[in-house]
Amino acid sequence: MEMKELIKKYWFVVIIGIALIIFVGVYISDLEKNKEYRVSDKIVDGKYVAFTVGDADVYADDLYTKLYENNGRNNAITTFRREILKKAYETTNEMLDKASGYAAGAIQQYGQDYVINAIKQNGYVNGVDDLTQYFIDIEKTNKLMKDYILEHNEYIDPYIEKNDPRVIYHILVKIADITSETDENGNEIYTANPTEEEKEKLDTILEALKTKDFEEVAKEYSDDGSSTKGGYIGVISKANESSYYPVFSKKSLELKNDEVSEVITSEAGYHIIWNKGNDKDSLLSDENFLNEIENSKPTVVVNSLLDTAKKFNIEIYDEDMKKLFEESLEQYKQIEKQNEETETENESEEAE
Amino acid sequence: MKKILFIILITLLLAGCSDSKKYSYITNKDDVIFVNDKENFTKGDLYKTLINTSESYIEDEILLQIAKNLEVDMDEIEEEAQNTIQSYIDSGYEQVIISYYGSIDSYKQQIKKTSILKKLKDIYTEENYENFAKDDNALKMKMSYFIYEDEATIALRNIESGNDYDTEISNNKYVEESFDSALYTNSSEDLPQEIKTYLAENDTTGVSKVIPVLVENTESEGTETDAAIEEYRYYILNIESRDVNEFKDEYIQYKTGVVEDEEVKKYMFENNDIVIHDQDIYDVLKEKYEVFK
Repeated sequence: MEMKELIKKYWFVVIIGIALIIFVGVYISDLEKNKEYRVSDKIVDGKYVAFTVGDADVYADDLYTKLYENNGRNNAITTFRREILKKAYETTNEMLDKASGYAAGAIQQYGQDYVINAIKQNGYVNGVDDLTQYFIDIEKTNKLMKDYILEHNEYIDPYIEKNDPRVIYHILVKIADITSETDENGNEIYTANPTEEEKEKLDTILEALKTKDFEEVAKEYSDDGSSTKGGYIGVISKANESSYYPVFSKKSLELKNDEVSEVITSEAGYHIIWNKGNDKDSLLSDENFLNEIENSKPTVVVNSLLDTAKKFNIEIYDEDMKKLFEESLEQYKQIEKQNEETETENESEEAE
Repeated sequence: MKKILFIILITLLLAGCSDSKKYSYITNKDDVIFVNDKENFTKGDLYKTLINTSESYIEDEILLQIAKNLEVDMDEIEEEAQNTIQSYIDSGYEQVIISYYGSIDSYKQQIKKTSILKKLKDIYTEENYENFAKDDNALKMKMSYFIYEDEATIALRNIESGNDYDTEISNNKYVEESFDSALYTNSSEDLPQEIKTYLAENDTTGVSKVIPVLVENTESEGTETDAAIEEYRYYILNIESRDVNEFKDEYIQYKTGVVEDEEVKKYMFENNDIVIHDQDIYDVLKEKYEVFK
């Protein structure tokens, strides 16, 4: 019988034969790969052994206990958080691009090995790919907290009422020669001694503000780094006023909605300040406003996570993990309480 | 025939597809930590994750067992760690430790790991000091140098004529600087290259020839800095011993201070009977250590 006819007749046998050869080949190759060292399991008194050194067995249970004490809680929480973020937000191209940029920057600054090792401790084990994912998860976590605040007015309204926040822009004219003296209340009063050039610049700015938008003028003339953002400083409120020059924050807090200040002098030079808005809508559309609330209410970190977990049927069963979240929440509540007490003390001192 | 082949095929299929990889499992591997919809994340899953993220910790655990097997005094290590911790607490650093390490106990574990590695370094050096000393070209010698070659030559002639080296050097007013007996290796930073070259090329003991060494001196006058001036120094060495057994303790102390952690770990893993019973642990270790490949 010819070969072709033979194959046609016994096609089943031929197929099985070929499959046999392939499987035997794969099996031998697998054996070859692990020829030097084959991992063998070991069970003693019903318990698995992780590794043996000489005659000493180290059980998996004991190793797990030590690993858990070392970094287990962090890892468990990271895994929990990642599952929540995966469900809550899709990864957009914008997120991916931004995260890739951060990842490249981190590698450039700290070196790849260092960075990869650092995120590994948090459960991100897949090298550079996971580094990008790490930054995506940070972005999603920030979004999670902000969305949580937006859904809970009980954070927003009291903050606005108590701290009187406003969105502030400014134009700076740097003055080289500034003198200062202290008034009877202990406040520093600054006097600028501008050159002709500096005076001219201020006049040009004041003239321009008559016909152009504040942001446009700031971009063109301001001597401050905020000029690239049209003079945008951020949200100034009673909670963070001490972060700015006293004369600057004082004026900022006095301005009404959409009001532009007269020229004031600080140790940096001349400022013209604009309160873009202190109404709720203006504040909610500002990305830094929600940051300010987060800073004042650290319980958001935990509550946003647990709240979202509930929405997506992600439930904690482990008592240790539950306790960890309870303790974190309690710690954050203590911080909030301390912050409030400090603010109250400061307010009383100021009133006196 | 077909049936026989089919049965053989199925058998091999099952053998080939069966997981030849072995793992260790914790007793409560199925305990649920959290449920994501209907998917459980269990303690077994966490154990696997922790192995993959804790390679240096696992190395430390293996080293701990090695240290115990080599009869390193663990009580002494525990006591020293406790004393260190207590001294920091007494000095008011308790909160600093907690903020940096998470807890007092974490810091104590860190101290103990460092101590264990130090003990293993001692053992490693003790077991290999002769080979190390050979590679390091370790020796003990005295040195002195002159600014003028003629004076150095005269001093050497006096020594070769029978004057004691120490007496000649201490009485010779032209000696610029002299150095007491010390341990040197080919890594000694305070040895000029010309001397290292001489020592590498000559394996004798005793007094050397005059060795010219070119040095750069930068002099400054007031606020101005002059250009570097090159000048020669003329060294005479007195090589006392090249037998490391004559200065063993000194050499071991030196070597323990410079040997790299990774070198010691590699040695310990290669020279102790270690058997891994978990594929994940094995995979994590083989990335770094040849012995596991």
